Amino acid sequence: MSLTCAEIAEAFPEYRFVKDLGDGTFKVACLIEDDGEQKVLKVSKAAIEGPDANLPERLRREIEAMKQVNCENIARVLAGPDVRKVAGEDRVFYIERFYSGGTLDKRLDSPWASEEVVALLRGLLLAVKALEDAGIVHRDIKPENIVFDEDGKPVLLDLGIAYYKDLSSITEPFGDSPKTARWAAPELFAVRSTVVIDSRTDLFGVGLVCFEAATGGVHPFNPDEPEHYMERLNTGHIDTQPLSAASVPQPLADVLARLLQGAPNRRYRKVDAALTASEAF
Amino acid sequence: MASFWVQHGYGKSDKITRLYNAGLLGGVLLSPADEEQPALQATRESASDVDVLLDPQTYVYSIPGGTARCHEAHGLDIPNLNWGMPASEVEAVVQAVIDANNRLGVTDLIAPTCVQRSLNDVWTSLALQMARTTLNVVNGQRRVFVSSVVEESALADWQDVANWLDVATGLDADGFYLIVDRVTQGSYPAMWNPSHLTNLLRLVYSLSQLNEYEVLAGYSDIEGILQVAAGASGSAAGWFYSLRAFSDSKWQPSSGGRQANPRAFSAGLLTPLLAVGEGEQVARSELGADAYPDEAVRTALSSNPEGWSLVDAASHHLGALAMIVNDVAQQSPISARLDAVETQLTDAHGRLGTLEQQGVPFSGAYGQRLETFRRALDAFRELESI
Repeated sequence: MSLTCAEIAEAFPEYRFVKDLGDGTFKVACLIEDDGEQKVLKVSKAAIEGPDANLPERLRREIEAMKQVNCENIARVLAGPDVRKVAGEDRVFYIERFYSGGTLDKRLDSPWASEEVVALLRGLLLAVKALEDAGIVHRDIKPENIVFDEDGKPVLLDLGIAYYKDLSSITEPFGDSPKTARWAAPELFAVRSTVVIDSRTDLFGVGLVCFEAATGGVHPFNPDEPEHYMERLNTGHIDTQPLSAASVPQPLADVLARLLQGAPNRRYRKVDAALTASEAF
Repeated sequence: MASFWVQHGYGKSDKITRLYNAGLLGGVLLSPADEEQPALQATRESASDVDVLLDPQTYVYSIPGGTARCHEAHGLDIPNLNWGMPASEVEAVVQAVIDANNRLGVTDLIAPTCVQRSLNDVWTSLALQMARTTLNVVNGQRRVFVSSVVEESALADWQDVANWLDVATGLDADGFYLIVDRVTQGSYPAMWNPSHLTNLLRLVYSLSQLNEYEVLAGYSDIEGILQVAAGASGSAAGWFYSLRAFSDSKWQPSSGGRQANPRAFSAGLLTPLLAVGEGEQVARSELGADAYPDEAVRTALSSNPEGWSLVDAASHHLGALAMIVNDVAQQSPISARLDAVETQLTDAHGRLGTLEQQGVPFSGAYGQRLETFRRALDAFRELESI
């Protein structure tokens, strides 16, 4: 299943390859230049059965969702999906807009100013609102999946494990949800058939990454101390000391605490309500 | 805008009109069990500029032996209600409720429901399905209140309530109409288990304050004051005891009971005292004006308690309760409402103690009931950090 950017470059001679952007579970991403504009070419690691085969369902949904949601805080698909022979096998590829500001995980070495946190919060809430309107739950909001455009606006990437309320589930209902454990809401750890997954799950993710930005990378529930981690997560008991140490204004701290509540019913019911709360400061 | 609602039922006479004329009425919850369409239509029109909702009472058919006299006339008799109903039958129930509302000219809907003995039993999924189906059929064209009738014991474990809330707060409704099925068959007024009442207040708070639904507390008596303090937009009570506390037995065949002794609700004691004996002694006492601020009531009770009829008792109870509910609802924020109710409970308990010391022979249940309210309120405030 290994695939390199060099192999991808060989299969796409029409583009100039700038650099390898790394690989995830399902795809390899390369920065390319096309007519003088930088873009991101993503190629699936898994091969498909011939150029006319159906796209893998998860990938098809991801690309459809990105095309369907029109929000400047959600990554835009510029071309694709299509199929090309890469490294001797047929693979799906598509092209996204390149966001030059880098990812959030590279910006967490010191606490952000509260205006910057508020801008991040609002941008991510607008992204989650657009997804909510489309019946999509991202489920994987984490610093690596947040990039910034040239104006510093946050953009949410990678709908690879999103949940589509109006489509049948791909995953086993008696298993837990796909997730990145360190940034996952508590309900994503539970058996899927016993919990509600909706936009409130993404609100938790927004709260978590904004907490990290506000505190310079401190996780509100300390997953590095695994004992009682789930209990801390379920009760929504956050350590507020890092917020105080970073001089986060109380109204902003209150909104973050609300987003990070363990039970979905204690977060904001609708993304609009969180947006309204974020306008108060 | 008043927050007190009348829980309509049999034998309304002029009770709704009196509250309406006194400016104490926030709305009327119509009972299709008690009046056929023309009469119910007239009731609906008697309070023309207050909110009106039709309680479709489909829950009756999830109570063993449950029947309702006039449901057939409204197309609301649903003897086949069961937890295994297919989606098409659920949709038919929803349509019957919408049709009944349309015939009465009621625009905002209360969704049909069933009685839930717990918050995770087989009926829970039917209740949620009825709510979702109503929301789908209405599709945003009318305001919808999800109705939820839960047995008091379902409130025993907060985690069960919280799990239910996670699902219920995913409903895109405008409000919730909450009814607690009080299984207690004791004497009026029935005692609450304080932890159940605490969880009810937390439920109301979560729905109304955290999730911004309108919450209407149905079949509520004095505990309705606490629910409004916790964030409910309204609480409803009626003239009979069976309209102030929901019970399965109201809907089951019975041979009838003994006629109740008339009571006179004391706003200052937050207690419905027996008119003869308790009420008359209190009215004559030095705390009479605190217990019964209305001089005409004091005079009636102290001069001729035997003349205090059940009709007087019902009208006075509703008026006095409405005034307290409406006053509490005027307070903002929620902490101010809670402070106001705490003060009333403390004052009432103190007066009750003073009157007992002066020789008024109260039932011990009165003081216990006030203590229960206070304990529930204190626990609620602590758990919600309000």
